[in-house]
Amino acid sequence: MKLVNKHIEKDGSGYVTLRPEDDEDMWHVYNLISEGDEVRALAIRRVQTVSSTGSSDSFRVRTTFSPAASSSTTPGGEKKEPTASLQVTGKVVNENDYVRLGAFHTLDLEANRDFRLSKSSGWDSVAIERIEEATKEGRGAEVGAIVLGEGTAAICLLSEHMTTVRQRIETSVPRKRKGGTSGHDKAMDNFFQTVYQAVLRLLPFQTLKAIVIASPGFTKDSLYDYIFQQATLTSNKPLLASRSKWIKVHSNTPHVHSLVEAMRAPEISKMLQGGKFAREGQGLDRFHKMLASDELRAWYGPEHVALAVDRGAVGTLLISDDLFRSSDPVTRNRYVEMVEAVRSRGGEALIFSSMHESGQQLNLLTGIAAILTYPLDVEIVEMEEREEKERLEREKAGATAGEGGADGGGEGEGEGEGGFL
Amino acid sequence: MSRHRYVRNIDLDAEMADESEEEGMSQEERAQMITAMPIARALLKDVRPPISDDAIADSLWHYWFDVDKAVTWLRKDWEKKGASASPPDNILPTPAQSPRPRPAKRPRLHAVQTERESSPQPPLSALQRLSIARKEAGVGRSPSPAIASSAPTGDSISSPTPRTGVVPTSEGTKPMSKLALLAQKRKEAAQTASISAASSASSSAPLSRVVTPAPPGASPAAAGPSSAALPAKPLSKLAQKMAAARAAKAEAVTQAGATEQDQSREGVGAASNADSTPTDNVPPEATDVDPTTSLFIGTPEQAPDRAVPDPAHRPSPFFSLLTSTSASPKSSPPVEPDSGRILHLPFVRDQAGLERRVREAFGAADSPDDIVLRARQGRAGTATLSTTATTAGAGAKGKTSGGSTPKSASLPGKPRVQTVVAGTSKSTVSQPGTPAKKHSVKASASSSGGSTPKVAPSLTGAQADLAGLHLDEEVDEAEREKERERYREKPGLNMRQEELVAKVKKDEEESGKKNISLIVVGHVDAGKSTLMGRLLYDLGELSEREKTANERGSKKVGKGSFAFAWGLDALGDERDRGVTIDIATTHFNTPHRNVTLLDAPGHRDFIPAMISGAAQADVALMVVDGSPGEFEAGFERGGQTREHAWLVRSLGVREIVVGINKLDLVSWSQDRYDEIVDALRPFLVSAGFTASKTTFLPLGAMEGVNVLVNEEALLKEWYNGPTLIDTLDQVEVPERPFESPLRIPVSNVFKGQTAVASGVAVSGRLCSGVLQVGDRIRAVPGDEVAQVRTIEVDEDSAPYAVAGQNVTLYLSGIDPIHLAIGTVLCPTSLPVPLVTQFTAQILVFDLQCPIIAGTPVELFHHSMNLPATISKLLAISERGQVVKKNPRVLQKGATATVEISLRPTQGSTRTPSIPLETAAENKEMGRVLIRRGGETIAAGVVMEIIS
Repeated sequence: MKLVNKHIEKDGSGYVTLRPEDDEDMWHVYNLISEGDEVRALAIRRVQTVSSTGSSDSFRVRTTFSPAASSSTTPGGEKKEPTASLQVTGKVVNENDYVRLGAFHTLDLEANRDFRLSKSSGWDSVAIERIEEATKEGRGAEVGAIVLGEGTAAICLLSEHMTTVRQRIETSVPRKRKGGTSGHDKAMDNFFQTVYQAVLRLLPFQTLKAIVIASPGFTKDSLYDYIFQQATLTSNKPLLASRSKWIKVHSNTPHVHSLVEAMRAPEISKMLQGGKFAREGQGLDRFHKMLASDELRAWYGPEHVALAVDRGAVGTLLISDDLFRSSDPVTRNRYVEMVEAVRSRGGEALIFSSMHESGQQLNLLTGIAAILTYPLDVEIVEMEEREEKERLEREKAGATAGEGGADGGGEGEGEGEGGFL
Repeated sequence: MSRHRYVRNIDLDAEMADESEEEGMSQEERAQMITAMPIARALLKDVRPPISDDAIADSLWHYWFDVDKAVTWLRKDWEKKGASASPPDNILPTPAQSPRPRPAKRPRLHAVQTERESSPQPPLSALQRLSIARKEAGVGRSPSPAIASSAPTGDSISSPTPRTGVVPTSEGTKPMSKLALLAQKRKEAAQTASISAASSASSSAPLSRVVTPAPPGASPAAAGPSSAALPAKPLSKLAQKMAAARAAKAEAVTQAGATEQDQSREGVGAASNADSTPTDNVPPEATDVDPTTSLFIGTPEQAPDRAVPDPAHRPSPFFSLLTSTSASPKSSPPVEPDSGRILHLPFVRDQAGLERRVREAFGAADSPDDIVLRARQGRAGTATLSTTATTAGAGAKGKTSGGSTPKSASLPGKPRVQTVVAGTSKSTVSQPGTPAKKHSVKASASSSGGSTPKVAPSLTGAQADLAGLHLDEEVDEAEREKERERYREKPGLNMRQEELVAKVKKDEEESGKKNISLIVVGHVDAGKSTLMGRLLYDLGELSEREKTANERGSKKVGKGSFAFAWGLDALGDERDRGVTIDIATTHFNTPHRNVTLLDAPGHRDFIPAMISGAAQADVALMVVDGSPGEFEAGFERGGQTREHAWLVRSLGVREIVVGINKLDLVSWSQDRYDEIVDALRPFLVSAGFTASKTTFLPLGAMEGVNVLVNEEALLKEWYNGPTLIDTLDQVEVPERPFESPLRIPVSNVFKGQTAVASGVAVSGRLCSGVLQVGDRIRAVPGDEVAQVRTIEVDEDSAPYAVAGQNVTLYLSGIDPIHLAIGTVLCPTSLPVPLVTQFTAQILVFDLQCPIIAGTPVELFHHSMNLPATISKLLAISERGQVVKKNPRVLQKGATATVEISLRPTQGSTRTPSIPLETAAENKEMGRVLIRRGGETIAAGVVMEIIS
């Protein structure tokens, strides 16, 4: 994505002009635009005019619209071709010759077409960070991955922020039976052939940083051997040249979600030098391990994590970008504040992309989790909170009875957040 | 095929016509025997001590009268046995040597014997004679030869009283079954007077052999009395006493007339005297020998004269019982007078009187229809009895039907209790449990029981009956049947489900063989596949040829120790890497179990395959590596021993056999064995296997020690427990849910490749219900219905399959794309529900990270495995009580109720679903396993289906 221009004031007002270029950019844009934001882009609209005689006329105009987004559709995870587009629907806020104020319009945001975005709630750190990430030069590695088992394969492309399953292959492979395994062998050969063809078609192995073959058992070895045997047979030079990029990794299942395990493998993280998905996977892994070793230091769920953040206990915050897409700006703000609070205390905040398997797994765990720096018992904390609230209520009652409690406001900062959750 | 149909299809006339030929050797064979005998004898002249003629004849028969072969075998046998062997011993080929093997089912024989013991009846059909012989065998090892011996010799003596009946081929020519031989041998051994008996038996052999069948039209009676005239074998005192006592007690005896009583008394007396007391009873007894004719017409006048010839041959007590009329009041217990008595009066009186009495006794002669009906139904002695009665009165027609009785009884069905009993025929005679399978004799030709020709001619009558009853032929028969059935599509039974269930239950009860599925589990490289390969090889399921091929192949790639494992590890990858990857399914038989064997991979990566197998199993065999350090490696964290134990237990396996393998590497050290047992026992208890359902065995798979037999001296020193096969033979068979709706989780989909069984094939195990050919079944998920074209159970086609069996189904009317591994086949009317979200009660295993809400997991259900998530933690319970609601985490060992949702596949709009039922509805369809990151973290049962 290209940052065309950026006018953001200290208070968060202002706008940026962006030019998305590919799928992943669209994913960023999707995450950037939230309800109420103003988007300005070129579009074509069919305009109908009714003449004084009553005859109607329609023509197309190319003009700029600024609808305040009311909804946006996500680019599908599994797209056929990289024709990324994002639709933004809303009421027009800037009138022009053809469109009246308040008319509805749906904007198509497409690759290589500039658009200007200004945020109604102001630019927060998470949004700005995302723009930076999205516009970083040479950002992220692209990795190809084939997760397979006997008869099933998923061919994926992993970029910094998303995992795209380009193709799923499922062929029925008869299992071994007494008296002849020819059925199995034949079907496996067929299966490998299908995978090989898909690899040629879908994986740009010349540009990819690495290509991972992950499977339980020996299937990965068989596939690897098959691919290079075929490459030799057909003297596919580019493929043979890419041999050093191919890595065989063990995974426990043939499902796509084993990619997380596969990506955690040391040989891959070494090769990809801190790729986002590798960091995410490791973060999640750390969380699980902490959960096993010290339950009191691994918290999850928005309420609980918020409490931990309040107490400054969070060492690593794992949060899914799903949560920032909240239609309620207040909720979004709360998460932004949590991220900022953790960072301000020297903690680490990992924003997981829900287009990655690890992000999805985090989503399943309510989308937010934290590894604490010191153990805290959830139940004790909750009890304290309750007592605090009761005390506060008593005070409030006293305050309304007497004067207005000044110190109640000071306390209420933390409390108010709790109330939201 | 249904037995009913079989009966219906029988061509009665044809069957009857064949009858006479099947009774023993054919004319041709007899002629061959006569020519071959002297040659063989001459060739064996030099052998000391001389080989008995019986033995020679026996082996000749075995080798189809090939003199050279027979002689060679005999010589070998003779050398082996040495001079010390008594003649009867060597006539009995050892099973391994037996050139025409006939499986002798001794246990079964005994069972039948006991059943039949109570039914001695005067009408001397083959059935009854058999029963007599049996009784003798069973009772006191009294020499049954006595009975039978009279038969062959009888033929040589002219019968003075011609009768209307036709005497079929002489009994004397009948080859003796090994069973009978065995029985005889035993008897003789038990006898004090065994020597004389044996010698008499052998001496009589040649005689009987020469006998030619009685010409048609010869009086049946003739055969009887004449044979009676021949020397009866002496009975040991003990045997006679016992026999007599038993006989007296027997219910049947109560019907025997007073005359019989007398006779029995006399028999006892004779026995006690220990001297040969020829009696008048002999003649009637002799009539027994003739199977098909009207027999109780022993010519009384001649009897006394002839009965005396050989003092050494006395009637068996049973014969006495049945036939004697002389009242020599001795010690026999009082017997209730019965009309049966009337039957036997004629024996000693005049013929006319006899006939009259017969009619009196049996009422009006049966109509031919009745006879046929009985013949069809029948194996019961009653039928024979009444038909014989008819024969006596009504001539040829009656006779044929009488002859046919045993024949038609030979249907592969189970014995039925004769319900239609001729009015006066003393119904006690009916002998349930006596499958009289004459036709098998014919079918198996010489391989039948008669293949040991007249070794003990004295036995031949009984012998023939035995063969006729087909007791020892069942296996042969079954095998032949199998062969035939194998290449034939079975027609559907078209039974209603309840009928089929009832039939299945009955069949199972009667056959005594139960189906069981065995899964072999254990840590990788514990020797699971090798052990199973060895077991299959020892059982003969894995042929020598395959074994040699595997040995050669494995040696070639430098993995010589994998030779046995290769019998099961057929995939290229498996062989290359020396690791089992997928379940291998095969089957074998133990005496009481029909075992489906599932050899599971032990490597942790292939646990999905192992789960798919374990879900089909009833019992587990856990193989543990006993070599130093290896057991520990497999048992510690990260080893598969624990996980497998949990897995199989939570998939419904209740019984576990632990084989401690590779003990040869620690030179069969008992300390090592005990150490492992001590480590495993508490663990298995904690995993939920009760101590009584846990068996430990020391094993050496490579050498096959303690697999079938324990011949290792070092091991024998301290271990004398059961071998592996013994243990497997006794595993408990769980109750099968026949009545529940059909559920078959498909574990494999493939294309049938043989000409017979082509097309879409699926295999799997019936979790519940029954299935028959022609049924329409629905494949879930999907909306496709298929028809069952063929059902294959253990590689043989079958008309139906029931819960608990592993089957392969060939389907028609469905495209294979609608079938996948994990599809559940169910009745069209009662499809299994498709589920995306459900609650389950789970037990959390040993895990690294605790379970929290939202934990991504893989859900395993039969052969399916799908990504899912534990979406909610509802409650933790202890001993059925909820102790905490909405917990934050589940730590190991917890029992909890959770909500599980399937995860949508990324980017796909299709909601995932799995065919599942609650455990309350169907236990096997309600079990799930939950894994994460390559370890099994929990097992559960489905409580409630949400959506």
